[in-house]
Amino acid sequence: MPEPVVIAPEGELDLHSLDALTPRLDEAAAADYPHLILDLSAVTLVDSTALGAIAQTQHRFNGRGRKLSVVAPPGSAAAVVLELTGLRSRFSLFGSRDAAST
Amino acid sequence: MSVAPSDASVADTLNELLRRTYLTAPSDLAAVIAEQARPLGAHDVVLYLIDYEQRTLVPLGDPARGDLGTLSVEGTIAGRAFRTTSVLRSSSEGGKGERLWLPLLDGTERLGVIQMAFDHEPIPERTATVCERYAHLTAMLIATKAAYGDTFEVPRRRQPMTIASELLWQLAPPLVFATDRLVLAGMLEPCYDNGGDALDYAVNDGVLHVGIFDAMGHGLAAAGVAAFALSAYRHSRRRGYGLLETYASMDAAVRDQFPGDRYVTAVIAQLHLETGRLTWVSAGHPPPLVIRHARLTRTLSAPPAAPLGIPLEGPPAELAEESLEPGDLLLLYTDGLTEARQRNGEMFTVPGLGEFVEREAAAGQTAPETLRRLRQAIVERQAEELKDDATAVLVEWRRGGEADLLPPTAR
Repeated sequence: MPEPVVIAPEGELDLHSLDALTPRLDEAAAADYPHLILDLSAVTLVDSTALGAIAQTQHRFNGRGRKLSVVAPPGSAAAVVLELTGLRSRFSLFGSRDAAST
Repeated sequence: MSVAPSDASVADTLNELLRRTYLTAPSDLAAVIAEQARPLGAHDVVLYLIDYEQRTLVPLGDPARGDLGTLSVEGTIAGRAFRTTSVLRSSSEGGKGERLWLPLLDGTERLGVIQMAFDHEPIPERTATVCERYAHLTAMLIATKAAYGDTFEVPRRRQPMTIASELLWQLAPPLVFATDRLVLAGMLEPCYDNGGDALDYAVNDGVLHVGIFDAMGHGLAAAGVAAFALSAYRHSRRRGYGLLETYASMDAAVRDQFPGDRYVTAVIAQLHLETGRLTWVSAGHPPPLVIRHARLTRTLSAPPAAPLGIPLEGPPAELAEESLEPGDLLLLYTDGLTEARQRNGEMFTVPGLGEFVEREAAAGQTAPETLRRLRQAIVERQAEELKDDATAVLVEWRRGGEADLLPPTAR
């Protein structure tokens, strides 16, 4: 089993920082990675545009025998946003990178 | 001492105004209103419209009269007539005669103020009441004629408007409505550069239908998505769909139209005006607030459904339910409001918003005044321009505030 590929952005995820993140997500979605871990532990803010980009990445990973795991520790900015927006149940959500890797 | 007009002359005045305005172009309405007020004894009749910022009253009318300036909403008698929707009197310049300042109310929507001067003083109470009705008819004529020209639109703008804002304002309902048991006021900011928020409501057969929408992103593309979502909401409502059906229909419409790259958060709600039963669906949107007894702001939390148009399978939406108590305030808002940065760099926050509305309610402010003052607190005390749209709908249920929106002569 190949190691999962990890993308772990830091700081605020908004319109500006997405310019850097989106190409990496696109590349991951287009490549043949069986398992991508999007680790949002060090993210301090997720705005609506970033949320859309994450949902879009999940959508592109659905089916085709691949999986996207999202790491958002309880109480983290990402966990709060996913809870408030009713999206929690729509992602494979993990509390730590270790939990997502196994 | 002047004599109040007789019932017959009042009837003639209104008859003639209604006859003339079949063929009145919007740009001629101010002159017609002024002329038709002559039999009431009024001269120097001037219409002032409230600007989009709700900060100044802008005179309409004869461009040859260069002496008319804009009037501030704060600190002028015209502004006080607007803020308190009351009929006020001032001495005419030169000391001869008296002036009336009356709110221009299309129902309860505050369009501005009308000034009417009289040669004799004091103006009889009966004349003031007749002028208040004349102002109401004038406001309704402005609202009707506004569909046929830009006369009443352009002066309200103190800055150029973006195309995105143009689109969303054209779809926006009037921002104040009141009827038995209900007062509703709305706010859409930034008023010249709104890009992605919208609100809508309708009162149908004893039920208030209300929705607030926030499209992802900003600018014209987001405004287009918000406009589409608003139209999808109206489409469902007018087909008689319930809230869950409306959610599903809007979700599919946004996803089909903007596959995978756009979404909208929303709260859609229904309030039964007889019983206070409130039902709603949150589509990934900040939960509504209820303010009871001007304190105890409470968040109406319920499991949210996903935003409209998100391309991810998930559980179906659930209907949330709550019973309002008479006097309750219900506040729907978008996160641009609570995340607005104040001058000290701090965010306004949800508790900050709740406390603001509590203070206004405790001070007896009407819902439209509360939102006008909220706008000032948020927009004008910003360290910088609003980063995101700030939208709010404030609903009063059985608070008895309807009459406070009328001039005293109409209560």
